[in-house]
Parts: sequence; structure tokens; C-alpha cells
Amino acid sequence: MSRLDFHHVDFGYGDRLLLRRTSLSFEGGGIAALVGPNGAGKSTLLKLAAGLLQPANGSVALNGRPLADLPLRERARMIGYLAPDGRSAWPMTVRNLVALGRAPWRQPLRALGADDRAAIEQAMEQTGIADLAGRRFDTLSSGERARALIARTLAGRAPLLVLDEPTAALDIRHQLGVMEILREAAKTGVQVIVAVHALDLAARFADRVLVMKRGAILADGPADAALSEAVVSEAFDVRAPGGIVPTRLAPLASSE
Amino acid sequence: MSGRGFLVAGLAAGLVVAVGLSLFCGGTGLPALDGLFSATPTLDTLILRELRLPRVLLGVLVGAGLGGAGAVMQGFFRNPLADPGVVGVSASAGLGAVTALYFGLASLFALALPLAGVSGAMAGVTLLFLIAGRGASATTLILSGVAVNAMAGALTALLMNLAPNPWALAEIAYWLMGSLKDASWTEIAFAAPLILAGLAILSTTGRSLDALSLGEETAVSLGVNLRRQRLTVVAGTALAVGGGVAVAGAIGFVGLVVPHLLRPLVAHRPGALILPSMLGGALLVTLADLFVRLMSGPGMPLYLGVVTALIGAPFFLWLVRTSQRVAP
Repeated sequence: MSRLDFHHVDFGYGDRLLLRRTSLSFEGGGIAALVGPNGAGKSTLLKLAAGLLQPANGSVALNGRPLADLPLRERARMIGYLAPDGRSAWPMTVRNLVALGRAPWRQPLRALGADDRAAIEQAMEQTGIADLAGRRFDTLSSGERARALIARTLAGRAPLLVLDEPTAALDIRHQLGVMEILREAAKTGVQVIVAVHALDLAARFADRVLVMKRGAILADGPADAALSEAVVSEAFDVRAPGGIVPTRLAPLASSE
Repeated sequence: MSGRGFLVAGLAAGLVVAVGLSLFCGGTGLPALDGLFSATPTLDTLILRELRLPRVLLGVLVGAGLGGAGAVMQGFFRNPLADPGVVGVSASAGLGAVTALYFGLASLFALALPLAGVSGAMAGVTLLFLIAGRGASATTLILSGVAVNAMAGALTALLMNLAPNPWALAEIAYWLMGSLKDASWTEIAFAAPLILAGLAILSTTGRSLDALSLGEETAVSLGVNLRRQRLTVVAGTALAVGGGVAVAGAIGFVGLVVPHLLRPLVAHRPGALILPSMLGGALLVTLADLFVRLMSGPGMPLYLGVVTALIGAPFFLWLVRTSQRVAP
């Protein structure tokens, strides 16, 4: 189990502060979904959570230790991060790409060990891409790429996963597939923090929803409360009579 | 043995064969071996020991430096067009060396020339990182390279412009064309430690380059210390390229062609590409220099840098065209 605390965090780009005295805690596993309009500060919050940005004031601490004080390698073992752009510069095979997730655990000049290989295979199983292991990344469909990148993130076996829009540019079936992978991971005790655009997905899969607008957290709680009609209209400037309801769609091939 | 193991073994074997061919092709043949270690060497033996052997060894070192630096730069910038020549590192090293030649530093103490080359390369690659360091697009990288190349070229031209006499001018001009023909054990003694140190530093970057495939943020999240890696790449490239350019002039496109040809053979893993590219660079320069030596007549010295550029430039054009097509 891990616990991540934002304590009075200020952060901005240039002169403009985006986050002001933000305090938040994530603990106890489950999926926390971050929603909000473009530019709300979701990606910034996630990068702070992953230690990729340092707060101007305040601190982000993992199990009581500020991320800035953690050795990079130790932090990398504790926090898995999935970047939003989802590209690979080189057309590596899926297995080699997933193996990158083992980087924080590997010793210099050593080949992959038995632990590494087991974690890689398990991550590919979890994401349903075991049969694609030998395929080149550039020959995959968008849905397969998203799964391969999530498998890369899972392969590190970090207790905290921070994912920036893993469902972007995916059709509804693949969005559901990705969220189900995250739900399975959360069931094993992993704390998942994920930014999503589709509010119905957040409502359906998240144990906790955080709604952001212009760096502020408008609502934080269970989906039915956080995605109420009032919050949604304030955050997104759209009408959502009755609030957001979870989608009832499910992939045909899924276990549900 | 893995596929990469076979590749490394194959390239190493090829290099041994090429070195052997290079040593014994030409005016003197195998009989020269008889007196290699004797106290009263024959003329053939002297040619082998004092001219050909250092020339071949220098080619191996310079080629390994260029190939390794090319592979690491391409991996770090996530861009198949990055090459010490294309992005101006070789030209900067050349400027450093020409400065040393021009001001007579090179005749003051022998290490001055290679050190000036390394300093020039260091300045060039630092400038490049300052302009194109963070997640630069292919366009930004190449434009930065054009700028660094232009700057180094302009300053080199200024020194040539101000050259005190035509002989100094000719010396600089011929030297810039890139050649191994003047290699001696002295050059080896000064360049080898620098190049070898550069190769050793470049060899440590493999894991980080792999992680960088998925972008800088992902690499940092995987535990890569980006600032340290940047310094490592700057130092390794400057030593591996600068040390070579200072004694052999600018030998272009080796760092572009070799990693590109070998990349599919290591399943496109940037870290796994470094060692094969060093061997492949050594192999390419050795063969190209053998070709140059056999083609050169008494009145017509052919320059190695000219030949590699003649092969490399069309390859570069082709690469620009194909990478435009597949770029997302």
C-alpha cells in the first residue's frame, strides 16, 4: 500500500500560478479519476504526482517522504507513469517495449532476470497482448498500442500508477477495455490515478472522481456526487440534466 | 547466443578481415611480416610497421568513434538524422583543430591538436544541446545543426582567409578534407586515449537511450537522470569525435550511415545499437580507406573524407525523404 500526499502545493508556468495551495491525499488503492476541461491542470497535477515536476511551494510526498528527496530509481520503482502522447521513437517489438518498464529494477550490464521476464509476461497477459509480443510497435492499431504502453507501465509493478489519458483517441470498446485493465490492477491493491475525458467512463470505473477547472479542484468524491449537474455545468459549461450517469456499454468479448 | 551477439561477432570478424586486407594489400605484401619484430627491418617491414599499421589503427579508432557517436546521438535525439557531421560537431572539432594549427599551438606541444579538436567538438555539441536540447523536433535539430555547421564553417573560413601564406592555407584545406594518410604512432598515442575514453563513456548510455524511446518524461519516470545523461552524451561525443577529427580531419556521414544500416538488425533498440555501430564504423572507415589508398595514384591523392561524403550525402538525401514519409 502506498500513500501520496499533496500538501499546500503551488505550481505555475511562468508567472501564472495554476495550482494554488492544493492539498490532496491518495491512499488505499482503487481508481481515482481526474476529469476537467482542456487546460484545467490535469496533466500538471499528474506530473507533480509522478515527481516529474517539482512544486514551487509545498510538497508532494510518497509514504511521508517528499518526492524531491527520493532517489530517482527508488521513485521509479514506486510510481509508474504513462505519458499522454503514447509514441515510441523506434519501431521496437512489443516485448522489448514492455521490457522498458523494468528499467528501475535492472542492474547495469545485466540481462533481464527471471523476475523481469515474469513481470513482462504477466503485464502482457493482463493487457491481453501476449499474442502480439513479437510484433513491431508501428504495425499495431491504436488500441493495441495503448495496451502495449499500459503493459509497459504495469511491468514495473509499482504500487502507484499515474496515467495521463490512456483512453485518448480510442473507440468506446477499447476505452472500456483499458479501464477494465486498470480496474483489475486496482483490485490487486494498486493505487491508480488516471486522467480521462469521457465523464461516463469516470462515473463507471472510478472509486473517486476529482473534477478540475483552471487548476482548482471543484469536486472530489464518489462519482454520483462529484459529477452532479451543478459541478458539470460549472466545470465544463455544458448542461447535464441529472448529472453524469455511468455508461452501460460493455465490450462483447468482456467477462461482464 | 542472441541475434545481437551474432551481429557483434560478425562485425568483429569482418573488422579483423578488413584490417588484415588493409595491412597487406598494396605495394608490400605478406613477406613483410617476417621482419616485423626484428632489429634490422627491411623496407617492406618499415612501411608496414611505421606507415600502414598506424594508418589502419587510426582508421579503426576514428570509425568506431564516429559510428558510436552517431548511434548515441540518434538515440538521444530520437532522430535517425542525427550524425556528428550533419549536426556540426565534426565541423566544430575541425574549427578547434584549425585554430590550434593556425596559432601554432599544434607545434608547441603535441597533445594540443587533439585537445583543441575535443574542445571544439565540446563547444559545438553544447551549442547544439542548448538550441535543440529538450524534445526538439527533427526540423529543429537539423536547423540547429545547420546553424552550428555554419558558425564553425564561417570561423574556419575566417582563419583560412587570414592564413599568413598559401602553404598554411593549403595545409588547412587538405587537412579539412579528412584523411588517414599522415597517420603515425604519434597521432595514435595522442588520439587513442581520447577516443577510447569517449567510446567508454558512450557505452554507458544504452539503458537511458532505450528508456528515452518513449520520450523524456517517460525516461525520467523510469529513473533516468536526464541532466546527467545529457552531460554524458556531450562528453562522450566530444571525445570520440573530437579526438578523431583533430588527427584525421572531417570524415563525414559514417555516424549517419552505420547506425541506420544496423538498426533493424538489433530490433531497433537504441541501446543495443551502440556497440555494433562502433564496430560497423570501424569496419566502414577501414574499407573506405583501403579503397582510397588503392585508388590514389602518385600524383592524385584521394581523400577519405571526400569519398565518405560522396557515399554519405546521397544516403542522407534518401534518408530525409523516407523519414519524411513515415513521420507521424
